[in-house]
Amino acid sequence: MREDFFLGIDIGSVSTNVVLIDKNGEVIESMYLRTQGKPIEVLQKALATLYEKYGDSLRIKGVGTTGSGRHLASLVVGADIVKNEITAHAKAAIFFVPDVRTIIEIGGQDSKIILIKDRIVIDFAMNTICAAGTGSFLDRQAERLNIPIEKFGETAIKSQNPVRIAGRCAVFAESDMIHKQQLGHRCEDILFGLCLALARNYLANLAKGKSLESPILFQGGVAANIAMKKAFEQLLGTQIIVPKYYNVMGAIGIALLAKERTKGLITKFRGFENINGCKFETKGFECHDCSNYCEVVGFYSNGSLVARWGDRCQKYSSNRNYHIENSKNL
Amino acid sequence: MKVGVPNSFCYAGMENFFIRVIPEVLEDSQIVFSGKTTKEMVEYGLKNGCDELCIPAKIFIGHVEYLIRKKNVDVLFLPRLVSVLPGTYSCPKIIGIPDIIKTNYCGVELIVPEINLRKKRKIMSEKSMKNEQLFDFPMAKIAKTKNIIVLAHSYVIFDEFLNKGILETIKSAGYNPIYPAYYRFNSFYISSDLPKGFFWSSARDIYNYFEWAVNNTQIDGVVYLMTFGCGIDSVLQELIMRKCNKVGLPYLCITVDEHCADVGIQTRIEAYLDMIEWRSKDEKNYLSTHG
Repeated sequence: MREDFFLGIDIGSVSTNVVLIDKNGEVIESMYLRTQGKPIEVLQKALATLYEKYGDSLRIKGVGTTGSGRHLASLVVGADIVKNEITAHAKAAIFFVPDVRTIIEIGGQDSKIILIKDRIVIDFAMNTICAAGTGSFLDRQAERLNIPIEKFGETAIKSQNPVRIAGRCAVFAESDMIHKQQLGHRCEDILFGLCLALARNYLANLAKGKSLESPILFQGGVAANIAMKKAFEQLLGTQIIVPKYYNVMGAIGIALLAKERTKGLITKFRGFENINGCKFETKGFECHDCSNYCEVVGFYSNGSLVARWGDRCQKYSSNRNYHIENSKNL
Repeated sequence: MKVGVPNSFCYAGMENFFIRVIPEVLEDSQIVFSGKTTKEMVEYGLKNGCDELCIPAKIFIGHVEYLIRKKNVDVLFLPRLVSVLPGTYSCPKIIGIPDIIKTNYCGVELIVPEINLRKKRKIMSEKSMKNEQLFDFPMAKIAKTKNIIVLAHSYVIFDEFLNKGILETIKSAGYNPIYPAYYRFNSFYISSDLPKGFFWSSARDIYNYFEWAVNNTQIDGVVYLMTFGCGIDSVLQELIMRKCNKVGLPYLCITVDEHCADVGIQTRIEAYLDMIEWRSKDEKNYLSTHG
């Protein structure tokens, strides 16, 4: 059976997600992997697994990449569309819940709020420098209390009497937590107190001045935590939906966008064998030709230069041969 | 004599004024401008600026340091811009910037004439002050459709380092960025709907331009480029956001600061332009909030 499939790749700070959808948008395969600082390797591994499972019956008609590693991923796989994660998340949410009005998305290092009306994004916000309300912080605190992150939600939800923790800043939240711990509060009460603090912080930072209408979707890696869902429900006083594929919504969204984009076109996808057989590398150097000291990064596939970026004056990115002859910098 | 003029922060866009005035007050002078902001200057500025300063002021200190270290200027020409638009004052950081430089760089000679339109007696000659044209910025060209207003202080709009090339990003996505330029807007005086006028001249300029553009041009969205640590921006941003919500314009506020990587800004602006594109494609579904 040879059917048409579309690939969506979302490379985030914490996780790398790959999904495969068919021409009706049905999710055939979804993978949620830890990036662990090696996005290219993890992506190659994921694609190799897919290829092993399906072999040549997989006919990829379109590929899209999103997430903070979207540009890198697009060079690796040959993407048809490269889009930011906000658009991708909104696309997937509207696909599954057409009348969705609000999306709460909390990932590893950033959190977003997206407001939708009549299937159109009308407003959005993203956290700025502070990462107090995100997955990495929860991860770290769970580790400190010696609770595996997978058990975080089910432990916290047992809480009868959550403690009050100031969630304004990750550093202060931690010292607040330690204080509560030394007073002898129960572990689950501290954990749920932390969830409430994060939810409060999220609503104060991102949702300020915006009205959150139902239905509200909660997606991103942190949505796995049932205590976080409960915390949001408690604060907003309304039901929150966690979609089935909550942790790979970005990848699904970009696969759907790739499907739209490649209608009637031939995909730029490089093919599984080509990707897995290649050795990809990035090398950077600081250019000292002017006082801007740009950090120029080059991307190499099997030793040959594919793309270069990071220079303000664009003499490297527009001309690949520039400086190759006197490549002492490289 | 080498006269150093840092042309950033409040002195951005005043190059023509300096070229006109400095030979008048200082004989045998050679004007040295600091030029465009570079990473080197930003690093100087961040090292020497104190905590309370906004980012543009810190970068300004970097420009000064660059002039002193690399250009060996004999004297710095830093007019004190107390009031440059009738009935208003400049931001306190702008008024005080010559003093900040004086305390940071003791050994350097400064020339600090005062420009104050609130005073009758003027220190500069009438000739050089004619038309009261202190600032000279190119005005934005307004297109028939697909305009996006980028609101910020002129020293942010015209500094690619501070705005991280946001105007170029908007242009390459097929939109036309329009922006206010200081004191170029007086000829079309418009009445604002605010109950009280602004105390600060830059705020008045930005808000008036915004209101004029909303009423008189075809615009798709509003982007506010806020600089970290700016008091004027924090008030103005809120006013403009409320007005945008009222008339149903897509609004985006971006805060630029010293350690903001370009990536975060790029993601936000891309998502914002996608949102506008999405709206315009789906015209039949889109209910105008204008009523």
